[in-house]
Amino acid sequence: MPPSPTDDAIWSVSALNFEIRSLLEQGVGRIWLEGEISNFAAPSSGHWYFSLKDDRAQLRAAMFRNRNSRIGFRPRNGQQVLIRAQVTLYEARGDFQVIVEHMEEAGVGRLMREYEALKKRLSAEGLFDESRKRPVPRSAQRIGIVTSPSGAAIRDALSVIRRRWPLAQVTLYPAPVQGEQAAPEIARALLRANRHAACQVLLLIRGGGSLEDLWCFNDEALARVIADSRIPVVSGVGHEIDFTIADFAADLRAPTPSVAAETVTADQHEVMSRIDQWLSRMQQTQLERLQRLNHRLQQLTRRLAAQHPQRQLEAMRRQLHLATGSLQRAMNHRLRLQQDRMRFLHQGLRHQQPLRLIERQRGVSEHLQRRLLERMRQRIERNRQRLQLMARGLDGLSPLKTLGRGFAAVEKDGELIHSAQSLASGDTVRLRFSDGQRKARIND
Amino acid sequence: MDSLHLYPAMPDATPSPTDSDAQIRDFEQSLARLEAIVQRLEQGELGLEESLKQFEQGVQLAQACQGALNAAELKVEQLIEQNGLQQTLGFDETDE
Repeated sequence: MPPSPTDDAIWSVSALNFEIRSLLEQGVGRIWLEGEISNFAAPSSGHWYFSLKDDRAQLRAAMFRNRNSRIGFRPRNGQQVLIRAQVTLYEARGDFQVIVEHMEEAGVGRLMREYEALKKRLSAEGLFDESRKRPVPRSAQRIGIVTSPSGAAIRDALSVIRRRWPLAQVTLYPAPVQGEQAAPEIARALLRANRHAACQVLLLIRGGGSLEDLWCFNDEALARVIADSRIPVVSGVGHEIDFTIADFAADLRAPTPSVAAETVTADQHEVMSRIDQWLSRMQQTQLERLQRLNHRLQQLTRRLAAQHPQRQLEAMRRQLHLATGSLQRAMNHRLRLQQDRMRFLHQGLRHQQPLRLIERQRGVSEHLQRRLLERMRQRIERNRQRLQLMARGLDGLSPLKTLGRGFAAVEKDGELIHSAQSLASGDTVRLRFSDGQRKARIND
Repeated sequence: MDSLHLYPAMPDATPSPTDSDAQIRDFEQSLARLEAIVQRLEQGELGLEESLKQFEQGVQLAQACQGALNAAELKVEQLIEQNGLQQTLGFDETDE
């Protein structure tokens, strides 16, 4: 019912267009839409403007540069496309239009419906349940990769693994990741990897592509093989916005092949720095311990040194040295005293020497000797004189004088004969005269 | 597939111990042992001689790990199936 001027306010055009725009944006909003492109224009601004039509109707569409640069193909007039778009009104001109956010080549619409149906069915079946998910190793050493050997995905993944964990060993289980045979080939590669049983984790990866390119990852049989894999599977298919059935079935979904590789590998720099930390912790611990022990050792060494016999010996030697010193001093002192005393006595002795006495006595002796000799001589002289006197007296009395007067003495055998009786005839006698002697024989 | 650089096929594709396997095992064991040694040393219950031995071993393990990482070169092979027979091939990623 159009508003009448009488019972309602009068709208301005702007207000109406604003109102309509709000109704469209909130009431219809963001939708998927399939149609054919016509009147395609791509001015230098980089935005695309075109009409989208089917056999009975058409509408205006705009796709701005920041969006159309991502879709990977350039639409042609007459091409069937599937778009995701925001329904709106261009207020300035009152044009009803859609702002396209995403565009795919068509055929896709049917695929999307199939995808949704499959996802719903498998999800209901419990194939995507968290309880089914196997834990994914975050620092795998043996990594299996299921992808095409000639794609960008394997190169990206290997480059990440090489950078992060070059110790890893990678086994590639090659499979085409595009086309009719891709899904069963991928499934076979996964089964082969499970039989091979050499890897701790499997990366199921593929580079970006169109929805149709990625379609093989929306295969039911493949989803079941992924879910049944004994080895954990990490998926990394297409770009961040792309979700496939394989992603849901996998134990972990990574947005890209590179991220998938990163997720399962340790970072060598982290491990290196962990080793460094362990090393320095170990060194610190050991250093502290050695310092403690060294300190204790020094203390004990000092205490031991104090008790060393050498020390005691030194002390005794010092004592001995002191004692020897004082002994020596004492002896020296005593010696000096004795020497002094001896010197004193010696001097005294020298004064008392007997030589003088001897000298004196010798003088006396010589004197006496001289007197003795004198006396002796005097006496000898006197006696000689007396003897002469006596000899003269004696001479008068001598027999020899008698004899001289003519007497002779008779001796026999040396004896003086006093009597004639004492002689017998024949005896030989000696006759002594004053002038000599003669022998005579008695013959009467 | 024809872009691949093919290496002589191996008669048996079952996993067999390789240098790289041993290297990886050694590395993991070394790392685990190193960590255990660090903890043991930090607990400080070892005798001095034993601790010095462990320390020396720890340093050797750390150096071995660092050396292994520094010297590591990513090994890539591929396992294919031909006529029901599994074959291990080399993989040259620069060969497009």
